[in-house]
Amino acid sequence: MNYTRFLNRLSLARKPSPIRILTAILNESSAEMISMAGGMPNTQTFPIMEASFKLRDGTVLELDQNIMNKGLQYAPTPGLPDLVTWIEGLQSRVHNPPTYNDKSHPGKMECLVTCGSQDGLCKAFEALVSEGDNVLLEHPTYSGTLAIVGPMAANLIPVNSDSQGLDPSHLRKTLSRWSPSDFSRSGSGAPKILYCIPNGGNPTGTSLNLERKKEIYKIAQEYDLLILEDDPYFYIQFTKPYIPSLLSMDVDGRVLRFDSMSKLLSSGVKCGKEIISWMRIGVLTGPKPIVDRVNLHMQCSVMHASGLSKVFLIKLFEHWGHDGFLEHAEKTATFYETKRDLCLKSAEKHLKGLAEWSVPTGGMFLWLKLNVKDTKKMIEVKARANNVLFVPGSAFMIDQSQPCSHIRASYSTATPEEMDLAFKRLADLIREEVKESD
Amino acid sequence: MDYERYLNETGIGRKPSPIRSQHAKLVCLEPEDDAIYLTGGLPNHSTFPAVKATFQLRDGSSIELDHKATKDALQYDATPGFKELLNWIYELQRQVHNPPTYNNNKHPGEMKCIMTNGAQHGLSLVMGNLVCKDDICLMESPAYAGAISVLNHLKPKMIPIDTDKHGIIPSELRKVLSRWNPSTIQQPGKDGPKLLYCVPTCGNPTGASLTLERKKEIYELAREYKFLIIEDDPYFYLRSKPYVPSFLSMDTDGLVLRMDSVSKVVSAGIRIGVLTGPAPLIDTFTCNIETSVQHTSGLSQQFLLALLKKWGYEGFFANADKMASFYEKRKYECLEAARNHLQDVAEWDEPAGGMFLWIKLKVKDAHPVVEKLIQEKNVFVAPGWYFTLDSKPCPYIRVAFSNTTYENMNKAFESLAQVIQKYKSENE
Repeated sequence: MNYTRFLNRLSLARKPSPIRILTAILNESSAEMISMAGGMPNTQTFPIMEASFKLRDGTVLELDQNIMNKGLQYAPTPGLPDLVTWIEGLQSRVHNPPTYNDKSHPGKMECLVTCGSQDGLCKAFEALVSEGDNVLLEHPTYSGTLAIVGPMAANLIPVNSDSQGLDPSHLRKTLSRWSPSDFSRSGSGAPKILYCIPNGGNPTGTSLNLERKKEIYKIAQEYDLLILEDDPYFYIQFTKPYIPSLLSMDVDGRVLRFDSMSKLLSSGVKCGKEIISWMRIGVLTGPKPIVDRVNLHMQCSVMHASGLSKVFLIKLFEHWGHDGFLEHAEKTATFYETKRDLCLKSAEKHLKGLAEWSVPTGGMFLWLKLNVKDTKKMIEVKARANNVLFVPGSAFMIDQSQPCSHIRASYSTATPEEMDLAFKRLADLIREEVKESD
Repeated sequence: MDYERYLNETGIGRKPSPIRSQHAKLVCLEPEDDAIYLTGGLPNHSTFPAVKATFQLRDGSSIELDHKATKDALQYDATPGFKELLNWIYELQRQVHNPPTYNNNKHPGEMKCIMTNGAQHGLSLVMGNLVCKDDICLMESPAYAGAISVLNHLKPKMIPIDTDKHGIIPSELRKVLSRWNPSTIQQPGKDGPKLLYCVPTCGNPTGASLTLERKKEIYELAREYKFLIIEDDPYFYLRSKPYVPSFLSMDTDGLVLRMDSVSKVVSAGIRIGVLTGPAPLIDTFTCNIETSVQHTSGLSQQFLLALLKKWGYEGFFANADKMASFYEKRKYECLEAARNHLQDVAEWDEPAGGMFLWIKLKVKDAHPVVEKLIQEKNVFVAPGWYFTLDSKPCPYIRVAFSNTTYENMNKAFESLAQVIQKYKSENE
């Protein structure tokens, strides 16, 4: 694969900072070495020495001065080595990518710890997209992704999804606008990247099955596309065993995978209007030549994710091991599955005949199509006045000015009683809206 | 002030995300108790494995964070930073800098602060949203290597402004500016310099600090030629009081973007910095934070908030003072070690503070000397060209005295002197 083809001018111009190169040499040198090169503060001046975290099950994780100093001092950009090794082990066990540990592969798998998966996603788009590029997006799509690519002045091309996620036949149809030779010719305008959320899609709650994933990967090979696999809900799948990821079938090194720790490990706190996740730790996994570009961007911006978050995670992961992590993931999935069932029960009870939906196969969202033309005003004005809120479907559309019948309901934090009451209020609103338009 | 003039296309194109802006509109009204939100995709707390964190401080006391603290910290919009922590920081900026734009909602450039993932993140938000290809950026020279690497790939025209032991030389700045006419500089096509970048206190790499007089003169030039001052000031608190007033403190026009860091006074690894500046620009950066890191680590912010609350402002200043003396002691040790070994082979000015000594070796190019020092003596220092805008031979090196014992400083400089002598005898 010719990775340079995918990178934009800005990203190709990034050079490693000389000081960071020196730090790398330094890490490999002997104990007698004296360094007066870096600008590291002295750890003796940091006011914290040790920390302990009490877990829900009563276990206490002790972080001694040695590990705390690692968390409090400047650290390598890709993440503290122990944490990266643990995560690579997890990726190998869960996805077993063909490019794992394959040094001879030009797209050898590399992991990078980012400040939340969204930061990885943002920096990847920033490395790949140039003004005027045609970019393929699963549609409807995550509003955060739209906010990332919006200011880039790219041409966003929707690829339809149905109840089983992104539709490969529509992908093929969309790509047929270009002739196959366009895909290796620069300046042809042929798309180079495809963005999708394969599990528990945001906002749709749908998941790709294995056949579709294989088909999509095959199309990507044919048209030489990079796939951005944004998979924060991978561990919140409601069917077991997990459907293999696109990364797991990535023989070419064309998949950039974004894993989130927020959904599993971070305490989300309800503050009325937005997602708060505590740790801001995500993982970018993909072919080394692309991951290295994101790493260079991190070097001169965030430098690295929070050291406190990282040392806490190292301790927690060491305590759990991969087995314990996967067990916790399973418990988390079961928790959300129960929430989904309660949500569906309330929807059946109140919204039958007023709305349609398909059963979410993962994640935190129910995507409802209401019997109304446009939900924006109804939600923003009337629902608000009736003390209930959903996200109007237009927020997930490339063209947000078009009327949209959908809404997204999140079942992650509401209690069963709240969900029931919310759908009852929504049902009344729909009836009123239908009556008015008659 | 027309702040849009300073933004690049990406910066101008940034809009608040639809979910956030819709909710901001709706929820900011007056959330009622029985309102039900099935909106955000926030994870449920009960899946989070930790319930309490305890931090042991160096002074023997401790800080506890429990889930209630997390909830309390997050009552409002989290992107700019946790409300209570931000309030604390606003008050700190008022006490220390008392900017003319503070709490002045009639001013188009009213002062605003946001929390960033370290001061370097703030710098990258600023440059990434302001600078276009071929824009003119005035850079103090030598300049912090991290600022050069943030700008390099954006391909602006970087013009070096000479410095001496008191930082930027105002007459040099004036000389460079004389090629533009201040009265036509804002007309399209006459684009003058967009910004001036500097580290005003204990500069990196030089250790030099601007005097108040110089700051005033430079600020007047900024007003006249309408360029922004990027005041990157991570070592501000590493000088003992009284502090030299900052550019922010004299910013009547809303031209200053200031980066503060907690890396040197609390911890570098927690990745927390503060970006302060005129509201229209800060709002653009906030949109960028929202689409990328979303907010800085909650664990880091909560820890910092708890620590600052425990300290109070007095405690914060007392701690900063302690840091300043800690590094000052190191500085004098380093100067002594340099006098012990380097008098014949190098020269240097006493740094105002901070962590660095900027040494001019009596050779044409320090780079081969540094390479030999690493290979033959296992001593690492940074060659001066890292901090220059061209890659011409540079006789300087930067040494950090923050993390080295007096004994090792002596060893390092003794080795350095030997390598220079040998190099000179072989090459000059």
